[in-house]
Amino acid sequence: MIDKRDAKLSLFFLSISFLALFIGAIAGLLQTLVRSGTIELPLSIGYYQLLTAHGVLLALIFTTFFIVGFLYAGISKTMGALYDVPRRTGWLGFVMMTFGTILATIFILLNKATVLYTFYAPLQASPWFYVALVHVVVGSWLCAFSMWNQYYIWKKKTNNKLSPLFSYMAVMTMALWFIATLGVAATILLQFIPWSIGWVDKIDILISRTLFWYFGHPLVYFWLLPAYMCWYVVIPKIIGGKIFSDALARLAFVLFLLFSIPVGFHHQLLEPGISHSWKFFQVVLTFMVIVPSLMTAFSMFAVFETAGRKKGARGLFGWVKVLPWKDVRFFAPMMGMLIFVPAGAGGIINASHQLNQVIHNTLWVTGHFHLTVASTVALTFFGIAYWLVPYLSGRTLTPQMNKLGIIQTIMWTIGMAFMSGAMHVVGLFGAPRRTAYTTYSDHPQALDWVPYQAAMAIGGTILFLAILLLIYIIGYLAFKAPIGEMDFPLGEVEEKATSTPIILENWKLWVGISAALIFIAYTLPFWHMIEHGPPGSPGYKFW
Amino acid sequence: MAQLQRKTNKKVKVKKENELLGTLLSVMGVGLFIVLSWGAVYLLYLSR
Repeated sequence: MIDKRDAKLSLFFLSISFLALFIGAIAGLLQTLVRSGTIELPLSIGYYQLLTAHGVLLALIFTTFFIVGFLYAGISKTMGALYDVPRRTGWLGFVMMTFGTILATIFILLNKATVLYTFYAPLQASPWFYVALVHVVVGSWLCAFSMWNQYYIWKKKTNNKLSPLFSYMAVMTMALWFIATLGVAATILLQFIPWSIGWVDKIDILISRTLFWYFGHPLVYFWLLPAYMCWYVVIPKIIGGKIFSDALARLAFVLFLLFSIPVGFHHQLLEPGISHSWKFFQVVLTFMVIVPSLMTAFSMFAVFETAGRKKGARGLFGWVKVLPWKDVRFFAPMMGMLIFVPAGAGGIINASHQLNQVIHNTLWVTGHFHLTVASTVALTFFGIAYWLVPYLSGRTLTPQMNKLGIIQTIMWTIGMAFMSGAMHVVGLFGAPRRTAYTTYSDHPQALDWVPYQAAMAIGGTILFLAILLLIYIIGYLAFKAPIGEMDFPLGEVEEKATSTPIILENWKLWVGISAALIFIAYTLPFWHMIEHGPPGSPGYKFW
Repeated sequence: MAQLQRKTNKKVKVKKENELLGTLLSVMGVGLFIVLSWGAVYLLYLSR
């Protein structure tokens, strides 16, 4: 068990995370029912208001709070109890993030911030919505500083010993988050807040979108890296195996830092005002992320095969059978990993310049990120929560809850297959995303989409039931499960693995290269945007 | 002689399993899936 004060901090973060998940899931269910034409909302609630609540509470709040809570728990486990300053800073971060979350939620529910989670200009929310986002971001920075501080003190006290793999990955994850959020902080502070207050009349839309996507793509990796931490460090222990290579895992994280940030243009491939050559350059950098992704795939398969062989598995794929499929701590993240295969393939399609024209702004894109963040990441986070919540609250994961967790995972997978599968297919038929139910005056093409939208609603309903089951299990594990000691599964590295080169922990080098790549990828195109800046736009409120 | 042959076969089999052949094929399978998915959407792009 980690220090009780650290467990409390971690549990507070996880609590807000699951609360946000529940509220966001209600919005999600209503959305799918509206989009399929099954229900109509009362006049006081708008479809786009729900869409905003769903996106903000799930994509930003559920994920960020869960990640910070998970990282604090793992850091305390691997580097020892948090020192006073990092812990206090962590609590300050929690208070700021929670205040920002409550403020943002209030303004979304008041229908004063119906700008979707991407808050694209010229849609204009109340200034308080942007102030709320600043609190969430700055609060998360405090958490990053706190984790780095813990790492720095630990390194000093251990005479620069190689850091534990989990803590190294946590530091890297927060480094990526900090560098990425500089873009969104800049656009909120320098553009959105002055514009929404009325200090300036107009906003440069291209610059605001560019700064958003400078943040928006690494945001995906901020979600994914903690999932990878579970795969690399936790899963080997659960399946009775060992980490394939500490060096390979660290190198993969370095590559994610380098190649997940200077790539935002692949979200803006149809955006006028950015030259094709710069888009092409960033697409090439985007594809570099395939390297650490396949390294991760190789590492995980190697862990599975090696562990299986040790258990006596025979044949080319005999090791698959001996994996602990009935253990939800493995099963849920494993489903996430399997879903990441089509999710990754879809991502490569999205980032390909020509193919992007087939799927841009269609429901395919919505289907894609429901496979990445809402399946791969979410299922891994659920798998973590099933052991982390009882671990932190001094209770145990009972066989009954384990079984319910398996059922919950199956429900999630089936629900997502319906919903995301239908979104992908109907997206290829041209159905737009971010659109309430309409048949476009009974246009034949739009009528063809209706059955797929019904499938989305069926999937969405199954997913909502899975969320209810999840909340019950988490509540039980936190308050009702038998008192006892759970294991915090942390794998050990294979004895035969090569030793880790010390250069992988040279932060000045990797952050320096990351900064250099960002400067190369963004300086000139950004300069062009300023030099040839359009007149700008006033704010619009369509709700 | 036959016994020796069996032993040799067994050794070869164990060696192959240690070489993570299943892992290699699995990763290649992931790669193939990505290429095929990309190709399918590319064909759709060309057809439009």
